[in-house]
Amino acid sequence: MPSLLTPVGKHYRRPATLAAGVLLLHALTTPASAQLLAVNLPNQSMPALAPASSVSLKTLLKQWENEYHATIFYESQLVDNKRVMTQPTEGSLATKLATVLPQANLQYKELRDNYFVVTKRAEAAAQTTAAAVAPQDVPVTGRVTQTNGEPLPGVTVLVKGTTNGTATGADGRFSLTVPEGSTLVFSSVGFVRQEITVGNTTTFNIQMKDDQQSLSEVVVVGYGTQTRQELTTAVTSVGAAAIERQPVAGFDQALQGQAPGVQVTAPTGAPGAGINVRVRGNASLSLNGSPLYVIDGVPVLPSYDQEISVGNQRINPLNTINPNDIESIDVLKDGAAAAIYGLRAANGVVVITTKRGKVGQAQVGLSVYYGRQYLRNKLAVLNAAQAAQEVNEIQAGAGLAPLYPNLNNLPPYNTDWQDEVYRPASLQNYQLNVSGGTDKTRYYISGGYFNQQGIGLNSGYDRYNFKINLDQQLSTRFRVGTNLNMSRSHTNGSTRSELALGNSGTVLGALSQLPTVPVRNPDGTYGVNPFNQSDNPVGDLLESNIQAVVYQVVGNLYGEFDILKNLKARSSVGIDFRTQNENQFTSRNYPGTANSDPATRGSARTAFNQQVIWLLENTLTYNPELGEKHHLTLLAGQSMQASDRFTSGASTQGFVSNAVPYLSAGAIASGIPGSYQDQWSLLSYFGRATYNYDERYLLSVSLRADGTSRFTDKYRFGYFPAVGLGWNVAKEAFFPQNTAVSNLKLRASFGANGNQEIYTYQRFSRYSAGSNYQGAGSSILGGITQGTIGNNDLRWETTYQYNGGLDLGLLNNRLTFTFDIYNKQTKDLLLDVPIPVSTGAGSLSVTQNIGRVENKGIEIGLVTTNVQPKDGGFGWTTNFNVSGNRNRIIDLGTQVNDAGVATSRSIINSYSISQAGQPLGAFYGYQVQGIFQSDAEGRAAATQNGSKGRAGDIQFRDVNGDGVINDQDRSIIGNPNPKAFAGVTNNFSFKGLELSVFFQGSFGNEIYNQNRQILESQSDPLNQSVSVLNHWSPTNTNTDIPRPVRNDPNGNNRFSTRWIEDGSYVRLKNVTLAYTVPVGLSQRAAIKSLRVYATAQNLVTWTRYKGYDPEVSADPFSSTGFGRDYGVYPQSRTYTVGLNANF
Amino acid sequence: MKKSFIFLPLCALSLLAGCNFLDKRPLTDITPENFFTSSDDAEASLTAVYDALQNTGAYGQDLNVMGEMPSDNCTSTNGDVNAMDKIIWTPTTSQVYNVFRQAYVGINRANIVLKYVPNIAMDTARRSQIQGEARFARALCYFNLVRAYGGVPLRLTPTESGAPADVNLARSTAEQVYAQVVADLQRAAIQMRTSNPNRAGKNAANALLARVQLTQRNWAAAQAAANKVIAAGVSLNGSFKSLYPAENKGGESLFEIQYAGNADGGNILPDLLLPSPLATYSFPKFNIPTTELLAYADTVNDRRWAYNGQVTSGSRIVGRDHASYIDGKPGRNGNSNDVGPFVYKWTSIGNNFNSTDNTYVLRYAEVLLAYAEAVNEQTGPSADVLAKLNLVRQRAGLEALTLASTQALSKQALRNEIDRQRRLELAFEGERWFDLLRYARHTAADASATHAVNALDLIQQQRSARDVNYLLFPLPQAELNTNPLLQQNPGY
Repeated sequence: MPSLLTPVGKHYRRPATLAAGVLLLHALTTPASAQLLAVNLPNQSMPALAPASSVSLKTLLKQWENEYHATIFYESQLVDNKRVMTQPTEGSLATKLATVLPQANLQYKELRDNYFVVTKRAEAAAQTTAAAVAPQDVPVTGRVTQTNGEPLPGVTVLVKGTTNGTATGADGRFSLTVPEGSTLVFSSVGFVRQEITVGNTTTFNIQMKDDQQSLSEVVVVGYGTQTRQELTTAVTSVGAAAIERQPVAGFDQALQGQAPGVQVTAPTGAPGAGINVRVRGNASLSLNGSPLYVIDGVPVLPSYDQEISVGNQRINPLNTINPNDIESIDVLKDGAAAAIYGLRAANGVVVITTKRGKVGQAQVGLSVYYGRQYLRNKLAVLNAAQAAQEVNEIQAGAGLAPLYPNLNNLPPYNTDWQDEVYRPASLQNYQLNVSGGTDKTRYYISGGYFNQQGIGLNSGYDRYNFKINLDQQLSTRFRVGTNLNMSRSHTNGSTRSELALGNSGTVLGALSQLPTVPVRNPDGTYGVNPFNQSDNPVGDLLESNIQAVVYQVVGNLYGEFDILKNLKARSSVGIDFRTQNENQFTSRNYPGTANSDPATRGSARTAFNQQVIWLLENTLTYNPELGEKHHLTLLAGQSMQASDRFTSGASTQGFVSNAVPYLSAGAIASGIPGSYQDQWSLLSYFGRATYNYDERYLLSVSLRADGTSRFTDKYRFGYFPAVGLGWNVAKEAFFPQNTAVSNLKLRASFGANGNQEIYTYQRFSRYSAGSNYQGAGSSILGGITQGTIGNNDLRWETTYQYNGGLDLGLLNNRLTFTFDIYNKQTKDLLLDVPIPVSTGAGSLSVTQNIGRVENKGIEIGLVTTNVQPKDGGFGWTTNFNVSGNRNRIIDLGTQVNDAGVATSRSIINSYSISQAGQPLGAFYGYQVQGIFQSDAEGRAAATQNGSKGRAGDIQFRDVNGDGVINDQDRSIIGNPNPKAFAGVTNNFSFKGLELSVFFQGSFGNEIYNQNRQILESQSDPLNQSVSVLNHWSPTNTNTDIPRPVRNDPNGNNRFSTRWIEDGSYVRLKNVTLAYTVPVGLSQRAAIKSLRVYATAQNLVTWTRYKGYDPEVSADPFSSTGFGRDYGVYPQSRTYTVGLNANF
Repeated sequence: MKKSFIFLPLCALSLLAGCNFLDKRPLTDITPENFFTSSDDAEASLTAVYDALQNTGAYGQDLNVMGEMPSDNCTSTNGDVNAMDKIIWTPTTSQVYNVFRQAYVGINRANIVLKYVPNIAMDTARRSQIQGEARFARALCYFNLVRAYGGVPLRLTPTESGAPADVNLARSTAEQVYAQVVADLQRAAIQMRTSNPNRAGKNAANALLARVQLTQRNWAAAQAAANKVIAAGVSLNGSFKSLYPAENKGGESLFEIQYAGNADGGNILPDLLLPSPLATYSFPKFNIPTTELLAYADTVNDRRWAYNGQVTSGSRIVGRDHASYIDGKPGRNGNSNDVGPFVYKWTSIGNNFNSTDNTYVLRYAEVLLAYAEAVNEQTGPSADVLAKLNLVRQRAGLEALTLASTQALSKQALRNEIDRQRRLELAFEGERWFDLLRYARHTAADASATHAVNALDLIQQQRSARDVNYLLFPLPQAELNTNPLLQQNPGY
């Protein structure tokens, strides 16, 4: 018997309220089991028991543990399957134990608050030990620590086979008097149990090792939890440590590289901007591809489309949670795992569990860090003399006069615009939390402040957040509580930072503004490009700003009631409430309006968005008693959710002064102020049965029915079934029971998930005003008619996912290996398709359910303990994951081609194509064949851009061979989807030192570097990349850069393979060196524990990509237009120092 | 436990919420559900129907170009209308698409009125009038479609859902479309009572019906329809010159498309047809009168064509008092694009593609000619025919014909004279090519009924072959690409 002492509470590492959904309350008695009772009652003098009122002792103890948030230890053979009578007594756990245990000839001892141990009754124990001579008692003392040297409080120290024991205090110390030669048993949840024989030594330094298996034991699966052993689906859990380590605003960014199958990209370096998360690829072509986030039971779907935004800088609603408050993140990846969230789960579900209070005295935690951020790298552009020369060559190429007639007499400036626009910026975070509780009440409250300046001028993000988690036991059967996350976040941005050139874009503006132009002219005005009047990026940034303030509350109130011992009802009312307020002001000095009528200069805009999404959920959880080896949990539930959103906005212009940057200071309204309101609702019913036989054969079946306001009655409800099967091979009798293979499990699942995230009122025909006509005389009559038609046939976009998995644990789980393979088939894609002209519809496209997309891939996760630390010595663990996903469009319906033949439909966007057989977002453009070395070569080749190419022009491939280069000669020239992405974290520990090194990378994706399309265009008087110094000329023919020529008559700069680059990279994302100050030292400062650390983020990046950063996307939230780099705010490199203290 | 009772209401609330809970309707959009509740809504939906006719894809530009450019009346060096001029149109030619597109926009808007307005509680006479006008507009759009493209999908209810079954519709036969047009016009003529110079009325419905029946060679029906207009007491305006530009002058005008200029998007056509000045910009203009037409017209005696000087408003030249003008001198800007004959049935008051000039769709002169043609085809020359024809001739300054006149000696002679008067009277008003198509079909159906020129002669002239396929325009490619139920017209 390897383990006799079974801590019942072992699984409940997570807050009990969350675990409660699948609590195994086995107490419903059946007549059949009642007949077995007598054999369990050694004391025959006890009165005969009424069968209906006896319960399993094991179940009862579990139930009490949960009710009282206590831990009860016992040796499993003692409790076995004994049954007891219960009396409806009120009172403490001790009272109850005293009432019940004697029935089973047992007793208890309270080691300390909420720690109980169950043993044989004294008489019985005395009988077994009577023969032995009572040994002499000796006092023993000692200290228990974790591998990192931190003291471990609450460790149970027991003399083996007795009730004699204690628990360690806050400093990890214990003292006990024990019989000489006895064995001490040290146990604590989440750690490997240790036994030490008391010999000559009486002072012990015990280091408890993490129990790798139990660390990942409990998984939040939606409306409940399961142990990993019981799991049949693909769920990845990410713990707090991995998230807290990274100095980023939001947890979504910190997920990067931590979980197989979860692809996280920070498409821009703008502080507070949205993060793109994809779980197992893009399951949709046009709908929101974000996973559903469930924050403490409240589903939050970041629909960036509905945020107010300027210049594509979308604010990220998920930033509202401070990563420090997160206990764990579980990513439900396969269809069966996500299916219980049926609706909106097609892109996976990310379940966020925040920290909760634990019974015990108040704990105060403080974390602080401060950092500096720097532009990771500068792009090499021409200096003033080179730029002037280049501009002249561009003119000369088209036979135009030079713009700098005298290169020896240039303007006296050599502005480095990148130096002017970027700056080192600070980053700081403070978080204070207090947690604790009694057996009735537990609390976790925290407050935090985060502030990140942007590395670009006049940009930044800051946030205040507050959190309250409260659990109250009202009676033995009734519990209530709340989880509340509140935040105020503020994003400061300039009006036009990104995604444009010249007058609008400051990123590309800084790269392309001529260095011969000063930041400010001698008269104080901003310098502008004299040749094309493009703005001054510094002026653009400083003379415009946009302040966005978001208040958000995400949370719920819940009540839980035990109707029967094993039937529990839970109701919760949740809210996701957000207001967003933006105030934008462009000053009178804005360079772009320098020449405008003074009466119109200065403009302001304000916009307001308020959305409340409320949620009401009721669930019933039932655990029928089916005998020792059958474990069944039944869940039935119902959920209602509704949203109400109101948006308004107005603008004015003509500011006499910059003093008051608000609407009312403007002289005239610009445009008509607008307001808008929309509502949606969802109604769901769901049920789930999880069953396992002896933890060997596992089955999970669920069905969810979701109704949405977005579809008509006929198609309103979608039904999303799921089934999961598992086999714990290692638990079979035939399987060799040794530590070489400690765990082997096979899993298979199928699940269906829905997506309905079309525009709220997409199905309705919508009318619009403006179809006016002249009436009598000169009067104009307002006409109103249909603008867009709806589609009453719209129904759920559904993803069917098949998953196969293997969990393997070797060498007593020192090495755990997880492998998953999946195939996701998304059908009935909700897609805008063109409709016949003969419909007469105002807009000739309509959303239909059409086409299919497939994602398939494999995921590998590996966690190894390479070196087990001995006595606080050197330890090394590695966490590695790699994923590969392939997506392709299977079908997009048909269209009739110009030859009258029905063919599969292609949807061509400006630079990508959606076509059956191709991946999403495939780049679609021209192929470069080379450079014409002579005019004669150009004449012999196909006509390009309406004329023949000249020497130094690019020759494009005439794909269809018709002698003309036109739209028909475009082909697929790149794939923005990575072939694989991976993350690897190595943790090294030695004494109190800890070093964590995290690499992350993406492989095989291509990027459309549209910045180069400007910086190597050589067609306008703009600054250029240094690579153009190598442009073609009669004397420099061995090059791939064409000739400079104004206005690009040959179309050399069209979208072609020229701009497609390999986007693969490996990044040393995070290095953290931490030191835990020895307790003895920190306690002198009244600090229980103190950890100080230094972190470097984005330290080194290995890539061939020529832009600022390979982690980039100008259209991050599009499923078909991602992977383009165009004036995107660059990522920074960050150095931080910080401390975590507990008081 | 008492406390548990709070769960009961929560549960009950959720379970009973049911159907209403999921019924969320647009709050800030106008939809058929929240619209169509008052007479104002009925009027606004009808206004949108007229707006569709005003569009450049309809009478604002392309319908006129399609009716004139392929014909012997007009030519142009402008690339935009080259395909129309040279009869080399294809399924992707812009006019082929635009006319088709805009006709269906008008049909859909009319269908919306016809579906919802009958249920609005309002003055019944006004409601009937609104329905009649919508029916008239639908008939006009279908008639323009069927004579240009042949049988087209016949859609009589609004398109309100994008489901494939709702949007894909096969072609009806030309006969079915004509039958619908006739039925709509007959009903419209009953439903419309009032006479409003800005809108279609009973006379417009009958006038259009005469045109439709003439196209189908239902001579008696054409006669009857035309006669209803004549019997209604409409008369020609005294002077041809005073008719142009169309500006709600009433009388002879039975239906014209309104343009308000800056206030609501003006008429683009004048700037496309006139030299600069009057037009704002110089470029090769559309619908330039052919030398053949000017030779055909009596440019000395026919008041419709004789040059009698400029019409000025103060010191500003606002037009010429005839339909074309031969001018050897370059325009004010010295641009060769502004030299030569131009169409002057619009004067482009209000420039920059934003003229307030209206465009005639139906006027009484055409009704008289239709009556004359219908009766001549049935009975040959008669006093009745000449009486109607002479009204048109005499206003143009031409002598009245008698049964002894050479032009009236035989049915065929009179047919040629009626053809001639139609061409000269209605030149540039968008009817010529459709008349030529009508003549080609007439001759094909009855070899004895010849016309001096028909569409096949022009097809022969442009394409060197009498390709009957070009008697129909092709269906636009965009329609074929999206509607799998359609078959292209032969030859395209």
